[in-house]
Amino acid sequence: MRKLLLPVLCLIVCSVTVFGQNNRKRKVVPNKARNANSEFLDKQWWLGFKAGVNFSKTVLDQSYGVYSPTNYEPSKTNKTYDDWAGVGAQATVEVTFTFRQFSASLQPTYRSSKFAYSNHYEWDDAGDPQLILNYKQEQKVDWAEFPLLFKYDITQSKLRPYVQVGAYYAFLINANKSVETSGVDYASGSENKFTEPDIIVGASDLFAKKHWGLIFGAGVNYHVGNIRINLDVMYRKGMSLVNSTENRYGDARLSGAGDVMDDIKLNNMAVSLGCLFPMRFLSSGFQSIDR
Amino acid sequence: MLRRILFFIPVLLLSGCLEESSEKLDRKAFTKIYDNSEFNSSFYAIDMKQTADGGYLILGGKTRIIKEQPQPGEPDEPSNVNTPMSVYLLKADEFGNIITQLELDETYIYPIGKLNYIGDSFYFFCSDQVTNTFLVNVDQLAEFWTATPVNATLPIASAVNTSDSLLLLSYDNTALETVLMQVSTTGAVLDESRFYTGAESPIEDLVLNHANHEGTQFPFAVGQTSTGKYFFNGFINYTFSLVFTNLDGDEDVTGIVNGQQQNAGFSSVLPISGESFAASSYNFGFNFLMPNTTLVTNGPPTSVTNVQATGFSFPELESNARVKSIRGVLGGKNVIIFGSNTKSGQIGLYVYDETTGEFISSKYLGYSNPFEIAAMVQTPQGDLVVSGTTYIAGRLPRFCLIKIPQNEIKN
Repeated sequence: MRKLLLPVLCLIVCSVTVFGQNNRKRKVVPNKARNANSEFLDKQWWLGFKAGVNFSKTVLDQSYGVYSPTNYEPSKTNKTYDDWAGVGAQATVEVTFTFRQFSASLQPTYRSSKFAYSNHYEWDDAGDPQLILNYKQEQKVDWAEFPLLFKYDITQSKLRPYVQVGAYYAFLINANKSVETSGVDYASGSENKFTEPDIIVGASDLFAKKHWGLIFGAGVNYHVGNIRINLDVMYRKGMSLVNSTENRYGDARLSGAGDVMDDIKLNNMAVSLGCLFPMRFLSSGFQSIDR
Repeated sequence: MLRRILFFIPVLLLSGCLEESSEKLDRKAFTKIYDNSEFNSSFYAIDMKQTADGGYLILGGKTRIIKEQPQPGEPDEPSNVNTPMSVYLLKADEFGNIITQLELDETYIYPIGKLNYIGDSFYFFCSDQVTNTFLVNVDQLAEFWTATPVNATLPIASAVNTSDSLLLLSYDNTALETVLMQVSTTGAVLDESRFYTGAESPIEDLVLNHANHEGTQFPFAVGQTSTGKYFFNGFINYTFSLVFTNLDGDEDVTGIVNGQQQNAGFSSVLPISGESFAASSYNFGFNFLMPNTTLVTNGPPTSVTNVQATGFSFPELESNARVKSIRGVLGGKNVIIFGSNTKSGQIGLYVYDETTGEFISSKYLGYSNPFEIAAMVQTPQGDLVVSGTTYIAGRLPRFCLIKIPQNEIKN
């Protein structure tokens, strides 16, 4: 937990700095035309929760392999990634400060993502296939993320679409990896399809303890009474490696079975549904969409 | 200004400790399996050394199953025949990537360890189809080689002596003698001693089957102690024994540690200083590691059963396990590293304090596919490199090379 403290403080400092800038601007551009009610409604704090699903795509930085071919092309040992295939989930607490159509939002998130890749190997006798092996490796990785986002509401109606940009910093919580082996054996007398029991291992050491990325997204807020129903789509572009370069070969069970992770970044598409509650009220009959 | 500093400090802090590709890390640790797509080809690692460029040279053998056409009068179907083990070398760079492969022509078969490094070249012995011995000289990149005949039959072990010539242990299956000789790098026999193994014993068959890889593989070894005394681990007088000699004529035995026929003996011998050795033994399937033991190199016969009484028993190791041992330095401490094959198909590494014989750590390599050890070296940086044979899908023997960072062995 102490490791998490410093980055959280950093993000808070950033937020305070940005909000401070906003406050200062407001003071130098007075709007005499506004009444007190309107001025109050220029600003709002929102607190809410959202959750949803996410899909990941790997971006290959550098390829690594355990198998080093002596008589065939090394490219045949490259992994094939199943992009956008694994379904992950995320849950987010959102704290948003809104000033007119602009918002700054801190969204601590628990994100669990899945991605998979596969390898295919063949051995033959003078061109006749003798043995085919297929490995499918699936990774399930959990992160604690701290995204800082800036949003712009396109309209100020009851249905408010918005666009958002930002960045996130993620801390690894846990990772698991399973290796499924299957194949076809032609050498034992006839075609024999087989599947080996999966190797399932804890793989936290194989992943980066921290990584960061940029966020682009859009969404829509729908005001129901005093609350906002929020549908949010985020595209995370990974900017640093999610694998551990130091412990790449650290798990003898995986490297011994011929598996080693490439240097990869992870892009992610997340769709969330949630609701936000206003934190500032003018009166008991206050409507957060009065403006 | 202060606000800008406040903004950038956390950015700098957060951007630290991120993962980045690094050649240094790639050099520090890797696991490589050198695969070949020929289903009927098998590759067995025998020894490995680090080359001057920081890479690695693996000596091994290759066998193939070929379809032999029927002779006249035989059934029409071709039959599968296993070829004799040819000589196959693989040169890898410091990252474990293949640089060159060298397969000698089929005249030269059954290579034996060690891969001896003298001058700028590597030397090893092999046979031909009729058990004649050849000394093969290979350059560091495994590109050029020469083979010189040596006046010996059935080579079974070799090493470098302190005067940069080669020690060769061979077996004369006509005279039924184990022969220990010094051989120059040009293949000339400089000196030799012969040791009778006994008449009407199974030893001839055992050695022949060992040499052509069709029977039990015995831990034959040869070397020289720090005091200049020679030793060999081989058959003498009906027994697999550790023999010390001055190479002063035939049957010159200054000390001997007797095994029990072919059923017990030393599986590795590593001289430390004087009569101090790190050794391991096998005894009717059981295995013992002795990181610090004293052997009588000049005196009355002793028995391996007595010596191993001070050793550590390792029931996890395969029956009569192959054991390799090296001296190394970990964390400024002189250590002995034993490597062996476990019953579960892994390579087990066991680290002991060289001085006290205390256990320091262990590590296991491999999983799923079986792994067998061939050799270990410690790099100048202190990392450990293990070569061996792994069986892809449990059935395709291939070379493997595993580099383990020093800190993973220490811990």
